[in-house]
Amino acid sequence: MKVLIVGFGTVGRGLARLVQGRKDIRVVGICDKDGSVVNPEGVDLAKALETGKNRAWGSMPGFVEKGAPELIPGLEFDVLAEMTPTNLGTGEPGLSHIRSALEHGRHVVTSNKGPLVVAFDELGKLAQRNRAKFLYEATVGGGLPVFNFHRNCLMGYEVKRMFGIVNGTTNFILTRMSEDGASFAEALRRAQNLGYAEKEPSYDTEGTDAAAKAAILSSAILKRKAGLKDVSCSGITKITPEAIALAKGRGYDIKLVADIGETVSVAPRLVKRDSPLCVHGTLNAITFVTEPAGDITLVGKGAGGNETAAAVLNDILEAGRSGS
Amino acid sequence: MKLLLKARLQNTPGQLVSLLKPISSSGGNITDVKQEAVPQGEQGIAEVEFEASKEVLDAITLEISSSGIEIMDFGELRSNGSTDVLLIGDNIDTDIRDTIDRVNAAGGAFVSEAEVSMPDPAKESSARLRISGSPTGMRDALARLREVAKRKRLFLVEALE
Repeated sequence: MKVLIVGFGTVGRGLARLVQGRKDIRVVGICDKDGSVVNPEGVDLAKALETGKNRAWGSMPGFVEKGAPELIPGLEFDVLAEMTPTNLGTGEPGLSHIRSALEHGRHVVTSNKGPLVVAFDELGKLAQRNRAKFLYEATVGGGLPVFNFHRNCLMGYEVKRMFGIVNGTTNFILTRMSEDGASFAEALRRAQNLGYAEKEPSYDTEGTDAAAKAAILSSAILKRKAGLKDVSCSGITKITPEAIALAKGRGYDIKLVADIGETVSVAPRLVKRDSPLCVHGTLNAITFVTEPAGDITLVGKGAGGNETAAAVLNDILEAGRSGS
Repeated sequence: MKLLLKARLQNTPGQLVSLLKPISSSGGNITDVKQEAVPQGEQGIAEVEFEASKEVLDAITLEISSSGIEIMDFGELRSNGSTDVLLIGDNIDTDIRDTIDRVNAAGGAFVSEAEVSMPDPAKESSARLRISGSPTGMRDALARLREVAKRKRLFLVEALE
């Protein structure tokens, strides 16, 4: 299967590491913001990983000055792996890359939430019209197989509601506050020192990342179209150690919960400590409320380049398995 | 058995009677009625809590439906329960007694426990309230608490149910 990688950050590099040496997948091009390399026989991924560190693409065999918008229509490939940074306002540049690939009948797999939040319906219809697969397992829950589980294991079930912890950074912060009695500021600093939180952390701590994922779950699984503006959202910055202590006294922990049903919300909630949803550290957990089987909860590592790259790889293999 | 019936009613004279009469004439004991306030002629939602024996339920729903009223939901009312909430902010300055009174005023549910943690008089306090009552009472009390919290700029954390 011939794959074009667009975006060579943490997830893109993680994917390159995972497919290195695989006989069934050939990466025929890598597009990064500073240049592209193309080789129909297969890009040397070891060299690309080394070169990608310094973004010195000009030194690689197969270097071209073209970017993804020029390469996608003309290059011969089966699957576009779109992993450029998320832009929740416009969905770009990922949205244009995905549109172009689908219009040319290529399968698309992505870890980029932006295009799904901005144009879920449009991209789904475009894929259908062009008989292409559009898969996005890596957008929610990192390594958790949320969409694959729904597609393959819940075919006879009706999903009435979903709720879950879909942001590992805030879960790490709340866990440290709960277990160490740390203030929000102290727990955030620890998360930043360990690389779990960005220097500018508001995308996670204000609940924006979780809200984007909640919107995608609503559109994709509950079939209720939702964008970012449809999600009522509050983050964890107002949570105090005293509030957590009061919660613990009654058998709860405070968790940032995405709740997707007739309405969609992201907010800190009291979660019973014996609930399967009450996971700690950077773990994610998602509960499907189903008829007739009741609650089914998936738990696993939500974030991390390798886990997310594994979800992208799974989608690539799924796209190949689907034929065409 | 305790039951809750939810129906869509037009705000016209006689509609509420058409909903309640089949219940009372079958021997049902109506314990609570709530009707959404909508302009005359428009449709709103009404909820009736009542006690009745199993044998008369089919006759009640048949009579209500045949009068043209749409039954949206009908089932056994769960027994009374409770839920916890947290309020973070100036709980004392915004008068926590008043906050509790306003929740209790909703009727059907009341604040059965309250505790406040205030580590420093100059800092925000955190409060936990337990609200107990019937399911509909707790829902109404929570709706009222959301309004109060918004007005008093208190950050509300609700339990995941």
